[in-house]
Amino acid sequence: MKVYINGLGITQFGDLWGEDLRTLSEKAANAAIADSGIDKTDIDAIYVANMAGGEFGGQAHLGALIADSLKLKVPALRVEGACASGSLAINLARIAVLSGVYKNVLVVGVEKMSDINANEAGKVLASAADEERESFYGVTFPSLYAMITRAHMHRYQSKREDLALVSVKNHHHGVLNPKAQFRKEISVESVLSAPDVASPLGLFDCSPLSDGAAAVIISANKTAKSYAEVVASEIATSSLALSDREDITTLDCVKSAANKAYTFAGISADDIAVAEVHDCFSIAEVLAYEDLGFAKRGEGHLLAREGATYYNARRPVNTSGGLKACGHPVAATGIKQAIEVCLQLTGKAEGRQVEGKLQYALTHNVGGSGATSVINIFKHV
Amino acid sequence: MYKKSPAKAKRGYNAKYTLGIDPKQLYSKQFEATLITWSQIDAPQAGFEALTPYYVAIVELPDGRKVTTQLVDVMSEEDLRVGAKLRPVFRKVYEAGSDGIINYGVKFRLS
Repeated sequence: MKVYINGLGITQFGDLWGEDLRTLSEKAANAAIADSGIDKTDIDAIYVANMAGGEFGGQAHLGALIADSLKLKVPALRVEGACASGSLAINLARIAVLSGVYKNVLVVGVEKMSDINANEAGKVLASAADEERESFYGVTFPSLYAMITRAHMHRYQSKREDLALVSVKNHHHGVLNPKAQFRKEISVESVLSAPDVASPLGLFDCSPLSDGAAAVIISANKTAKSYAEVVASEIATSSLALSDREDITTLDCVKSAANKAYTFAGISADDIAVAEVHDCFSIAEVLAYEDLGFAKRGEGHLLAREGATYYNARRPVNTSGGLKACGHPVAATGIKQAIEVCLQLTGKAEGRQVEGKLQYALTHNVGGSGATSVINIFKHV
Repeated sequence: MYKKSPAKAKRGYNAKYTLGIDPKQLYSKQFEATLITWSQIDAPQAGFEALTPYYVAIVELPDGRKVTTQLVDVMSEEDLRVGAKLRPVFRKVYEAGSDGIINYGVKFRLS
């Protein structure tokens, strides 16, 4: 049994004051259904990825909300794993299709974050950390990744300039992606002189608060509309609190999920032609290079320094603009990553298309400071 | 909301107020922790605005456990370095609103 991605739908990402959870998810879902060519009534179930509709806007029960808005009465449920929610939903939809119970599952990732102020939104996001032992002391997500950054700099002599290059590259890609929140080039100087958020990270090391939705159809059927086969999807977890990890210069759950996924797909890191990684902060993309095997341990920042991860360089990463420039409507991100690599695998990533015959692509989606990680691998069909 | 719950504060008493260590030992002159990493926060979590900027850190206790905490009495970030020795201090962490309880915890300062 094989599992395919048969339809893609995505909204604009950004501060979308005219949109709410219902309109965003409806737009993405309808676009994915239309793109797949299937009839709406062929959808067997709806899996909704959403981190905190209740906390961001007072709306929970999103499975029913989205089924209702699509006028479908199929099984519908919500999946939550903080920022990894989107890829978790794809993982579960794949298992449901593999089980033979469903033929077509609509997966929608959606987050509406701009209805509350930034400090309040930060507090909601901090609920993905250990509430009793981290958030209690006023820890924010930027500060958790900042503490990882300091440890990485101390051990491997990585520099703020190296991290800045990650943001500069992702903004360059964002300019090329019409759905991106920030379509503007930035420079290393502007990253370094941006306001402090949590030392040593500044504002331009951080992904933004965003509204947006993304949807895909996960199907048992290979059709003319199939974008890719989902050849592996692995989840791994680690301690909820960063301080409980033996080594905070790596995300161990990413390594184990990636190794399992590579083994399952029968490939290695070098077979990945293009990847979307979870750059919630600039350091996170550097860790991803190392944990996914794109760079040696302690040398992730050298890949950034080399400029190797531009869409037209040897190891393309985050051609969508990543979380930094494309935006990060939390639970929509994992689905957006899948959409971007599907576009790449089928030669449809206009303006930022990676050249050559692309065989395999990977998405790397992380929840919290590395407590949940989902690695999905897609193959050209 | 939930941060005002006295039951919740009571449940966390042992871990937060003493780190699970006998206070006589915790606040003795011999007790030293080691700074693993830190960050100075300029964009605070909601509820911590009055303290901003403040330092959060991961420190290693003598028993090998690592805990997340705050650093206090830091005159300049330049004074901090990985491996620096620290002493615990008992401090207020936050007040959960005007009708809420006051939450305390163990913070650290350079020894």
